[in-house]
Amino acid sequence: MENEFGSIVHPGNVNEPENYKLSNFRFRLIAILTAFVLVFCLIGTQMIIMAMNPDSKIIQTEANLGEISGRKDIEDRRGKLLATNITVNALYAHPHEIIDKNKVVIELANIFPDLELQFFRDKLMSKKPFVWLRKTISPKQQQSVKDIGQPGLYFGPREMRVYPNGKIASHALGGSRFGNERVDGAEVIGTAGVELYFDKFLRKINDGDSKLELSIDVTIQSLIEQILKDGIGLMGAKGGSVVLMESKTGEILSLASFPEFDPNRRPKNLFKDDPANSPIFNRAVQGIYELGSVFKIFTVALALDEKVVELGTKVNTKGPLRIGGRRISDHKYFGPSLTVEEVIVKSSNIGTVRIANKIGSVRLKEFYKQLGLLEKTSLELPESKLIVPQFPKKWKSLETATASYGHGIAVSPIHLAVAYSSLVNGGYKVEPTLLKNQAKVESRSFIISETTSQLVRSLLGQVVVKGTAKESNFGGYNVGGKTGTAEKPDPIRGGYYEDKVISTFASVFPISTADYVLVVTLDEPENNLGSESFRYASKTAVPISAKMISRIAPLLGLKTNE
Amino acid sequence: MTDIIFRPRSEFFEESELPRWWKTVDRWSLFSLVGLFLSGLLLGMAASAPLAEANGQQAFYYVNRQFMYGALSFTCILGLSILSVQENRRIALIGFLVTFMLLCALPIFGTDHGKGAVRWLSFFGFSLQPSEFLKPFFVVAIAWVISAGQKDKNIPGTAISFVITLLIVSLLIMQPDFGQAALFLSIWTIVYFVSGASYRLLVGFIFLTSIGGFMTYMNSEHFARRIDGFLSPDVDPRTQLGFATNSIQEGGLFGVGLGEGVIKWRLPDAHTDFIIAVAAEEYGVLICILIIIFFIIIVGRSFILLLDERDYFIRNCGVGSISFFAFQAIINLGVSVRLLPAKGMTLPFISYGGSSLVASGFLMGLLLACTRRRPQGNVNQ
Repeated sequence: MENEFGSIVHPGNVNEPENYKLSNFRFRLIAILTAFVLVFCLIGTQMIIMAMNPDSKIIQTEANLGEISGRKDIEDRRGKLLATNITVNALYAHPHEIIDKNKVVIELANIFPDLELQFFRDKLMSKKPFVWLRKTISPKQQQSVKDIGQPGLYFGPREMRVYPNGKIASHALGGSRFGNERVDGAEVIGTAGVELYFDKFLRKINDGDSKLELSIDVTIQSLIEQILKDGIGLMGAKGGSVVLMESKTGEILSLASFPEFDPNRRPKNLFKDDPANSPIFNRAVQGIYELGSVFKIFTVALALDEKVVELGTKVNTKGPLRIGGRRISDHKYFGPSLTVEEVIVKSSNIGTVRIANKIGSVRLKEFYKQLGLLEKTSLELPESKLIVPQFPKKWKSLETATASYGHGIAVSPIHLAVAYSSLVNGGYKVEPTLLKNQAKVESRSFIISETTSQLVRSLLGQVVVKGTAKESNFGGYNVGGKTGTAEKPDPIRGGYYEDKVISTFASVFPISTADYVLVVTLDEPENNLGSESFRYASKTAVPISAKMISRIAPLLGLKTNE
Repeated sequence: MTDIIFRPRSEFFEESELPRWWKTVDRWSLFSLVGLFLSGLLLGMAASAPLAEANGQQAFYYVNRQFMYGALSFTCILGLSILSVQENRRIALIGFLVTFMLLCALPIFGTDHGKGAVRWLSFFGFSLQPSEFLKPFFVVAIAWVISAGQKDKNIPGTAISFVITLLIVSLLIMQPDFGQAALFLSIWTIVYFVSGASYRLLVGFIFLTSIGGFMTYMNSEHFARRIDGFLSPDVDPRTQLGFATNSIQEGGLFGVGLGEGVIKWRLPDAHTDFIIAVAAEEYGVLICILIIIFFIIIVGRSFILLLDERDYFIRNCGVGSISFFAFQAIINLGVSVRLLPAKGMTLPFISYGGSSLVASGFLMGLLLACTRRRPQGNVNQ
């Protein structure tokens, strides 16, 4: 209701309710006002105190290593350190506190010869109240800085990530960098590899687990890297990769890629060159290649498991074979027919295609899928999440034919190691893992029967005894394996290079139990050691694998010629 | 305090609106608001230069814009405070419905200005922050609903206003904007308090809210990091807080001198959330004290004038709007002297920003309408 003043007078208000009188309202209002005014005064006082005491340093230089500086160690399967932290110091300054700035600039430039005089001058002559000068300094440099004897130079302690083995296992480890930096510590963030994949876990330093245990064996890893590097040098290859896997668990004992890098000084991504040639490129995981004849064993294993052929079944190898307008031939004429065993031992394309035709494209594709060859792997590396194999969408007769001997389908060496492990371990699918004792063994899904797995092992053994891998010396260990030499696709002209190959040897040892699978892949190798030059896997990847096996088998506790 | 009603009637019966307004409006608050705005322009000259440079504008581009918004803001103050309270209420309730719908529309049509939260609506080259405009309208809405409950015991006014508040708070948390959400909740609590809440209920409510805040702290990394940064004993010099504390120390009583400050070049929010740090560095802490005095005058005068108010709605509305104003100032100032954890909150009439300035104009127009002297119904208390 309105009165004549243009204001409201509510009758209800005139008689204050018993429980809420005007005095009560006033009391509450005054209470709030008092609180507001007190807070304003508090803020004003605080401002004056701060302004009057510019020396009351809120910034402390004492160490206060809190939550941001911890990071768990990474160890190999035998407890050897792969990554740990050391305490170092960062150097920063409050330029306004420095008395003789010119002297400090000259002295600092002497202590840090890698930095320009101008760098320090710009930093210290700026009006900023705070400047970082260097992220990490050595104890000796720290002493020299103290010896300058000027105020305003401070040290901030921080934990720095170090990889004591240098380049060994660099691709699995990845690398790290400083994140948020404070004077009392700096955050370490994983940038690649397990450091990135397990970043959250590594940062939680109080959850009971004090370390991350990898399945890598650093002794074997360093041997393999050395032999790979020597071999690549000898054969003038662009690069190469090695995967050593426990066939029954999928645990990776060694993961190598060359060229390599030092995670202590991880190189930046080099964009001007093909990234696939960069040292930080993990060929074993990120590189997908057409791997060629190493796939033939998949086709034959399926044919044996489906019982469409037996080892002794004769297969027509008369060529050339014309499918969908394309010619499929062998590298030499093997006669009118070979047994299934001979198709693998001598590596006949025509024979494999004829076996594949007996299976049918639908079943072959399904089998490849079961082996994990058509999907991403579940390996614990951020890089593997992005890598999907390449293969034709529709498998008509031509696509099926080429896929049966490993062409027109590109997978990573990890994929190959998983597929071989699953074939020889008794026939169940394994998942690759970089973690120790993490493999899921209770839920085994069998892809082929135990008997077929046994047949596959003996077939692979025959390749080494009398087939494409017979010339190499495996140091007296019983080894099985399959070679593959695939011409590289030419991205510019289309089609394939005639003189550039990816040469692969997928091997299994010891042949009786097939506990370990070793996949060695070389990019553009050429063996010029004899009178002729060879690119075939039998002259490139096989001898390198042979050397590796003869050196690492003793470390794995294996005996010769069991 | 019965003198008002005994004033000559002529004081309320001027021929034209404007002189009548001039005689009844709280001139102390009005002048303080002008003082705040002018200080804001002065600080803006220093603080917005880097932003202008970054956006390729002339040095005083943002000061000019701020001046334009200021004119609009004071037009709102004049326009609203000249109207009667119930006319204000009518406008505000319509405004409440519109802004509330805009706030609801944010998840669909909103834009993210690069801070990871969708708080802005953009159209025709303008961007507008609905949560700023919601403030004055929200105050009117809950004041009205609560006062309805006070007048008629059959209306569950408090409950309805609480539901409205919760709805808005959850919309703000979804953005996410925990600070604004807490602000709206606090305003409701204060209005509820002055409307005669029982102390027992109030303590229970505050207890529940604290538990809610603690749960948010445990579950939100972003939120927790800010609180942790605040609780840690030493300030990291590379954070916004570190810069702000540093600059107050650097400035001393009289400042490092015009244009000499460095903080404005280093803090991205120097012209809005941390403008007081720029003020302290360049002009010295005395100008900050002056600004604080302006705030105290406005808050003090408004509360004192409201002491005599008899109308439930005007009481609630006045207390709500002045509390919004005071809270914003306290949070902004408290952060820069490290009495509070880092929270982006504009300083009313000082920080740069069209939405904030015009919305504050609405809020203050409403407040001045509530605190205008008018005859009170009961003289017997």
